[in-house]
Amino acid sequence: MKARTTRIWATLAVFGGFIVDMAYGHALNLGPIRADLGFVCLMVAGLFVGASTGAVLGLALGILQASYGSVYAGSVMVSRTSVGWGVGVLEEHLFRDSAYVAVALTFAGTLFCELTFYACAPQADVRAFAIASLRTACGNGLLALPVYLALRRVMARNTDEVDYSR
Amino acid sequence: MLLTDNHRPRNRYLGVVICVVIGIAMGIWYGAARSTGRSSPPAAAVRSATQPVVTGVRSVGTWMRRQTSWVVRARQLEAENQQLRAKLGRLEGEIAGLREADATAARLRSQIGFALTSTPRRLAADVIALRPSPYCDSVTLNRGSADGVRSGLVVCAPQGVLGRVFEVAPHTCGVLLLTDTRCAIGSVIQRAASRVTGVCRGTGGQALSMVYVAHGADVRVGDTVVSSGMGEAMGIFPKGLPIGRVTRVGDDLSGAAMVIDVTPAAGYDRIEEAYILQ
Repeated sequence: MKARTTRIWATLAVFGGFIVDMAYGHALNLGPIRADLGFVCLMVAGLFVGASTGAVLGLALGILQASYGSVYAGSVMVSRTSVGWGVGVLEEHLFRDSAYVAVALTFAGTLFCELTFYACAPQADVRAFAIASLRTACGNGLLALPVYLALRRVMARNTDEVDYSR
Repeated sequence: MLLTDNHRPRNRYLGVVICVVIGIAMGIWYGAARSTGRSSPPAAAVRSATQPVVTGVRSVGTWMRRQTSWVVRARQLEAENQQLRAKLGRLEGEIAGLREADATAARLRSQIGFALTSTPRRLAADVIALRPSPYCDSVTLNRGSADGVRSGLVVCAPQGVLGRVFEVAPHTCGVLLLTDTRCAIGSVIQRAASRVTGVCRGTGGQALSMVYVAHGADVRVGDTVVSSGMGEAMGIFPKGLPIGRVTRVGDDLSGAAMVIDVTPAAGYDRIEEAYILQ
């Protein structure tokens, strides 16, 4: 029962993050640094769910993002799915109740996601893409802290009895 | 929480494999639909389902900003009001003069056999999503094929050109902004003594880059850049639409051409309304 509640909260977090990001996307920018709130919510929520749920959440976020801007739609979906699954797998080996882990994982996960995206859809200007990816990773890492603190309040209390085999 | 092997799922990879296969299949579907300038059915369905939520969230934010901004800006409002009144009076005078000049130009063009250009119809639209995709500088408008919108139409904000429609769903459309690296627009310096032509390209950042301008051309910081209406692929943009203002002028590494930075006239950070030229 608690595992299901956690998954529902995780789904709401990713969906809510995506909606807010679309509504106020530019307001989240810090100068040239762009953050992706939907992705940050995926990374942080992934710390509380298993690998399969992480993959499904990643695919869901990919579908949402690709539906509004379907340039490189397949690459967006596959990269988000891979990262969602990866965080779910790592969750089994990480102590989740740590803000440092959330920030570091979001930063590294963003870079991994961008790398996966690039492998699926190589960009013409590699340098510009690398710089933009690094900026996004910094923005996402910064945003991960408040998102983690917010999600932790509602999700941490539901995670003790999670059984990922179901 | 560290899980023991007993708690681990039997096939950890099955879920991700299924999701990746679904992602690839949907990606192909989306891509095939986009190549025709239309949204795929699932993309259109997702947009239709989420549009009211996004619009609601944006409305709440807009309402709150309008309710509170006067408190923060109370002191500035009086001075701003006076400036705007003065500007309004000056612009009204300019408009009257321009109307007269426009009528004269149209009359002369018809007398010497030039084709008269018709003013396109403007369809007002609300922005419902800013930067929906991290890999594409775009916005989403609440107008779609049901309103007569089709791929390739030009979209403007009150201040200047925004971009062009690149994807159409029944009730929404995606607009590729000028700042996107895939977007380019034939442009000309508006100053009568200059009239230097070039191409404004998106850089993926906040500014545009005007290229194909020969070394030594008469371009100055502060010049206004408008669309030239020239070029095959770029000719979809009508002539004379404001693009932006020159903020930096320099030479490229070879010294044969100039590098010109242009700040877009339409601020993409806070677009709320736009209109589509039909």
